[in-house]
Amino acid sequence: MNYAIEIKNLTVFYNKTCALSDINLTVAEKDFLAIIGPNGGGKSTLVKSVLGIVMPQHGEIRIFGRDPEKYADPIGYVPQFSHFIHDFPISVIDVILTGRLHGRTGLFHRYSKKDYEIAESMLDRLNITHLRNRQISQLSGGQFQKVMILRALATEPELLLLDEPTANVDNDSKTQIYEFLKEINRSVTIILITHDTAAISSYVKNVACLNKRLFYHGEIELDNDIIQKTFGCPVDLIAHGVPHRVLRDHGE
Amino acid sequence: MLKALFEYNFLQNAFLCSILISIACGIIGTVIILKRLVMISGGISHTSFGGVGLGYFLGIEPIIGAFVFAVAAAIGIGYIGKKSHRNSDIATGIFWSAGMALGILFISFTPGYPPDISSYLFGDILTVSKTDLLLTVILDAVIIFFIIAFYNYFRAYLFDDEFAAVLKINVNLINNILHVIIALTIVILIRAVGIVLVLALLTAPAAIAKLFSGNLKSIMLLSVFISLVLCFAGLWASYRFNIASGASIALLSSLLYFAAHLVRKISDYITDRKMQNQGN
Repeated sequence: MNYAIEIKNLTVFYNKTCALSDINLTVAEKDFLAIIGPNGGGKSTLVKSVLGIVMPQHGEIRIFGRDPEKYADPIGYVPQFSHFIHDFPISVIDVILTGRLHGRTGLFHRYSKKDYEIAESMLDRLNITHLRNRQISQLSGGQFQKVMILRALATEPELLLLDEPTANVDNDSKTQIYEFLKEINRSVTIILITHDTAAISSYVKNVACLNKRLFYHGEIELDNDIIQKTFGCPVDLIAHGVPHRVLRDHGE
Repeated sequence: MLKALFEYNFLQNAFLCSILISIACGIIGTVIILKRLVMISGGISHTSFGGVGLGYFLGIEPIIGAFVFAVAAAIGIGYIGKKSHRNSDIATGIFWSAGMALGILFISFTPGYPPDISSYLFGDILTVSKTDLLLTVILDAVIIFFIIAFYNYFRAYLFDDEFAAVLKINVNLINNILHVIIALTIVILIRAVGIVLVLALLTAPAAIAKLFSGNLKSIMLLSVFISLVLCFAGLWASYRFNIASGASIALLSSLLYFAAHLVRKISDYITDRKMQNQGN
C-alpha cells in the first residue's frame, strides 16, 4: 500500500507550549481524511507541519515516501478563512493564477497561455466563471472559499489540505464544495480539517481526532458503533468538547 | 513661485526631490498599508534618529547613520515579528524610543554647539543636496526593478505569504528585501518630511488611492500621483508661508485623506440611494 503521508512521533512546540505530542498518522493515497477536534487542539499545526510552514521539534514526516523538502511537487493548501486580508486588491482570476507560480522560475515572470487556460478551466469547474474579474473583497464567504479551493487545485496537486473550508459558508455552497471535493478525491488525496459533522458522515472516508495527541484514526465504515457515537451527538460536542469522550471506546 | 523655480537652484532640487520621493513613497506606501506595516514603519523611522545622532557624534554624514539604524531596525523588528504579532508590536515600541534616546544621547556627547536637528525631525525639502537626489534616484531604480521583476511573486506574497511559501517561493528573501527597501524609503523621506512626520506621506496617498481603486498596479500608480500632488502643494506652502516642509506636507496629507474618506462615503451613499430607487 502506498501512503500519501506518513507521520512518525511528531512533536511540535510553540515556544514552551506543546501543540502536538507524539503524533503517528498514516494517510493512504486517495484517502479522504477528516481531522476533527477542539479549537487549539493542533489541527492547523498538524497541517502546517506537513506543508513545512511549521517546523517540528521532533519526529518525521514523509510525503509520498519522500522528505518534505525533497518533495518538489506542489501541495494544494486552503488556509483558514480568517488568515486572509479580505480587502486586498486582487481579482479572482489573479488569485487562482497564483496557484501556477513556482519557486524556481526567475525574473520578469509572466503567466503563460497554459496558466491562463488552467485558471479559466478552474472557474468552470465550480461554475463561477462570471466572477472572473470580481475583486475578492466583493465575494461572499462561499464564493471566496471556492476561489481558494480552485487556487489550491490550480497547482495540480496530488495532495490537498483544507483548513475549515466551510466556515463562513452558506449551506448551498457547502454542499457544492463537498460534492466537488468528493469528485476530485478520485485522483487527489484530501485531508480536511472541519467542525462540520454532516460532512463527515456523508463525504469523508476516514476520521482522525486530534487534541494535542491523536486519539482516534480509522475507517468510519468499519465500526457502526463509532459512527453512532461520532455523528449521533450534537455538533457542539465535537467542535468544543473533548473528542475522546465522544469516541471513548477507542480513546487513549 | 514659478519664476523663482527657474532662478533658484534649491527650488529646482526640491522640485526634483518631490518627484523622486513620490515614486518611492507611492509604491512602498501601498505595500505598507496592505501588509499592515504602518506602525513598524513609524518604529523604523524613529529608530533612525539614533543614526542621525551617531553621525553627528562620529563626524560622518548623519543620513548614512540613519540608513544603518533604519535597516537594522527593519531587520530586527521583522525578525522578532516573525515569531508573533504581539512581539512585533512590542519590539516596534522599544526600537522606537530606544532609537530616539540614542540619538539624543549621541548628540549631547557631541563636542561643540549642538547641531540643528529639527530638519531631521520635521524635514526640510528646501535644503536637499545633490547627494540626496542621487541616493533617491538609486533607491527609485531599485524599487521599480524589484516590483516589476518580481511582480507576480510579490503580489502572491503580499496576498498570502503562507501559500507562497507552500509553492516554494522564497518568502524569507522577499520579506527581507522588502524590509530593507522600506527602511531605505523611510530614510529618503526623512529629508523631505522628517522622522516624526514621515508616516503621513507614507500612508495617506496609498490609503486614498485604495479608496478609489481595486487593482494593485493602479493603486501604486495613483498613490505615486497623489503623493506628487501633496509634495508640490506642501513645497509651495512651505516656500510661500515659510514653514517646515514636513509640517505642510503632513498636514495636507491628513486633510486630503479625511476629505477623500468623506467623498467616498458620500458617493457610496448616493449609489446606495440610486440602487434603492431602482429597486422600488
